[in-house]
Amino acid sequence: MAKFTLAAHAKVQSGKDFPAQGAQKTKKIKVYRWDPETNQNPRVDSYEIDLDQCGPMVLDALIKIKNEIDPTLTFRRSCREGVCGSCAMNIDGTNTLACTKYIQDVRGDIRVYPLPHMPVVKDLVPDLKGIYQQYQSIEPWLKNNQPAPNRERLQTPEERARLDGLWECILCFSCSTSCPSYWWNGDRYLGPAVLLQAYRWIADSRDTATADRLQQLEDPFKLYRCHTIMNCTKTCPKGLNPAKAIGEIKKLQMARQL
Amino acid sequence: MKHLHQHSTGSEAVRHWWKQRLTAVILVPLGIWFVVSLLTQVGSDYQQFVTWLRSPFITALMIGFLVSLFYHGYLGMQVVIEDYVSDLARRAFWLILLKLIWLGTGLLSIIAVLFVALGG
Repeated sequence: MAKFTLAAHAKVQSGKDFPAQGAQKTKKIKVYRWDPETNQNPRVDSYEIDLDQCGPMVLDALIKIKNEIDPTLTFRRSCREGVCGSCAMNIDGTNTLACTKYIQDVRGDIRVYPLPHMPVVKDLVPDLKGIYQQYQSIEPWLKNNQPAPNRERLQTPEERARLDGLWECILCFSCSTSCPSYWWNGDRYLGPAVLLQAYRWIADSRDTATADRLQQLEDPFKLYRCHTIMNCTKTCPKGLNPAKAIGEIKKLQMARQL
Repeated sequence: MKHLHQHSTGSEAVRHWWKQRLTAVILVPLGIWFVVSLLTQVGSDYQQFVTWLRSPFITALMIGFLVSLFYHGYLGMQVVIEDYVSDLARRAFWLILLKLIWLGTGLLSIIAVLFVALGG
């Protein structure tokens, strides 16, 4: 059964308070904390940030906390400009990138949790092993059975335009972890991120494995658990539309039956 | 598109999706017809209603509506069970039970319409 309540050892408790000393403008950041090496339940620690001494983004606040207040806070980050996808987390109830989310866009305290419904490695770091395996399963590379040309495989501007809205995906998995279908059946349903990537190769005019790719996806669970809930599209920090990509795959599945 | 037909298998997954959409589209006009018809029958007594339902065209529409409605409902409930019941034995049990209930109530309502239409 799908689980609707947290197990006793997973119930989130209130944690420590770290008030700001002598600050004029402050913001409280409430962060989910869990350490596998202690036997304690997860807790939410509250850090008060001096906004005059902090960059504008939620990631700036997290880095400030780690550098100046609590070095035990653990999270992933790398590019700090929305192209690497490392700092995807649940901020103010929505999956997004901490590096492109403005502190001032959140009213009241900022709640920061790891991506929902993934196993947690520590604090804000989710275990993405399963979803990476699913990504690998769609064989995300160009497959072409023609002899390699002497130069690039050319596309018309129209063929290239079909990849727009797909190539921009940075695999942060904000979408997949916002999808109820992926929450309940993430072991078999591929989820919006991986299906958008699958469509990125299906839509590529240079790829000749389209029929194989569609055949691989023709499964009641891998593809058809998508019920067009649209959380994926709503949450995507890059403004992409995974639900549309999945719809295109379903249309092609239908077309090959005719 | 490129060579889509290479392995087309006519899979159940695609058919299920297609049938769900098809019955949904059919239900739009039939559903509106059903509600409007019931509204126009407000105030009729039993005999007037039976006379209305006995018209062959109305009987056919009503059976068409019931078939689409129950089939669409069955397909939807099947998805709900597949979504939320992950234990395979339990899922099989609920799917069989669902089929029996849906088939039973669907048949019963169609028989009821025929019973009235063909006199009784």
